[in-house]
Amino acid sequence: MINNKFFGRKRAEPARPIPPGQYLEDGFPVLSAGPTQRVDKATWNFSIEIGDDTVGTWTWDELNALPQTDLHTDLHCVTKWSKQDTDWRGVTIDALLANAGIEAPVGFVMASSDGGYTTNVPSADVIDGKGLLVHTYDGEPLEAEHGGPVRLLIPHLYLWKSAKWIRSLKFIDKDEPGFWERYGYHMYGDPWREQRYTND
Amino acid sequence: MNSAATTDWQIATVTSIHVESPRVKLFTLELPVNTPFRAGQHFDVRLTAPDGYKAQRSYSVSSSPEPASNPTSIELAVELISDGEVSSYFHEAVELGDKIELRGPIGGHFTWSPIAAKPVVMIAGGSGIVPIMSMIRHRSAIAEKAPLLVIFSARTEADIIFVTELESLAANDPSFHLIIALTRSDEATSSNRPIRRFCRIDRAMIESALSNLAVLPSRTYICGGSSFVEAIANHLLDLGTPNNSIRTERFGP
Repeated sequence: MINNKFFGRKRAEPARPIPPGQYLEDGFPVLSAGPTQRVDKATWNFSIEIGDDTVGTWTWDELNALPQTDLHTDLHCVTKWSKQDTDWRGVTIDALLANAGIEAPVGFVMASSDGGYTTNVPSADVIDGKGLLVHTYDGEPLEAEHGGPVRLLIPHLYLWKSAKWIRSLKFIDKDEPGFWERYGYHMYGDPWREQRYTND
Repeated sequence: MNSAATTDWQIATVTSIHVESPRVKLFTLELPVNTPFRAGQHFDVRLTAPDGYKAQRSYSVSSSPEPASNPTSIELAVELISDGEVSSYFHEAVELGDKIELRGPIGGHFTWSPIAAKPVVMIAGGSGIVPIMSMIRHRSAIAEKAPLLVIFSARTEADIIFVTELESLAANDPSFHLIIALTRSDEATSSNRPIRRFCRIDRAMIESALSNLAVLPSRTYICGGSSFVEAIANHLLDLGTPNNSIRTERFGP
């Protein structure tokens, strides 16, 4: 449907294309369903589970002792903003799995965070360098309102999949909806296919 | 959970336009199909320019979800954002009878229904009152009269959207406690009414208002700009409000 009186704002072309329905954002908006979580690095830990078994647990110091990866990437939030050229540092899920001496099971992953947030992604989308636990944004410790001290980052999917205040990844055989997915958000969430809601 | 139909695009018709404040206009949109929603949900609007350029934004519903009110129409409140291509289109170009493409309802966490927790506290900054207005109207339309505390922060008297309706509801309902905090005006420049406070919402104001409720709220909703929501949520956590009883919706940067 054409809105004849709508022409859009004349704006600078993005450095690279952005996904359909998105607009370019210079700032870094904060969107969370609840309060910013207060996470103490001294007691924080992160675990990887396969079904009911915990196969690895890392403290803050242990996470920082693992091989660190720098990532330059674009972010796409389902609330329509995209942010290009962001810089992150953290640990790939591959490095965590290698440290635990295991290979990623096929299937799906449920990410869980402080405050009760959860989100689901296929296993294939967190390995091969696609998923990281990040603790540094733009050279500075990740701020709490952006998910610090440690959040998940899976930048090729809408940002609600990159769970803030991450505490565990659980590998599961069958896909299950997480927090927003239960409210009708897409199970996969590919911004380039504009998979915002269930049947997109 | 949203049903399949909720994500289909619909073409709505603008049936009323109301200037609610210098920066906020209310649009009543007639929907082609009955679209049930819950108080607090939003719709996605999609504009398409003649050259094919598209822009999408989300707008919260301010009307009550009551079937009695009109199941096929919703009221959206649009705040004019500087440099906002969609909000400026609504404010400067949209006329009665115009068609608007939208889909929804969307969201489901920032919602309130009478079976939800009670009493309830709702704290809004600026246009953050919009989804909360839907909840307040919903509460007033049904028998539910669990205690409700609303603290609404606006810049000046002229920026208090829905003010007449809010004051009337509060005046006629002893279980509805309303506080309006004005951040950029003082008693000399604003009508001096008992529910006005001339300051930002701070921890002391929240603490005092909470102490006037007979029991602790089992749920608190906060909606507004990011820094507003962040500040209020932190005050509530400092006051011992349980983390999982606080639901937030953050607008804008």
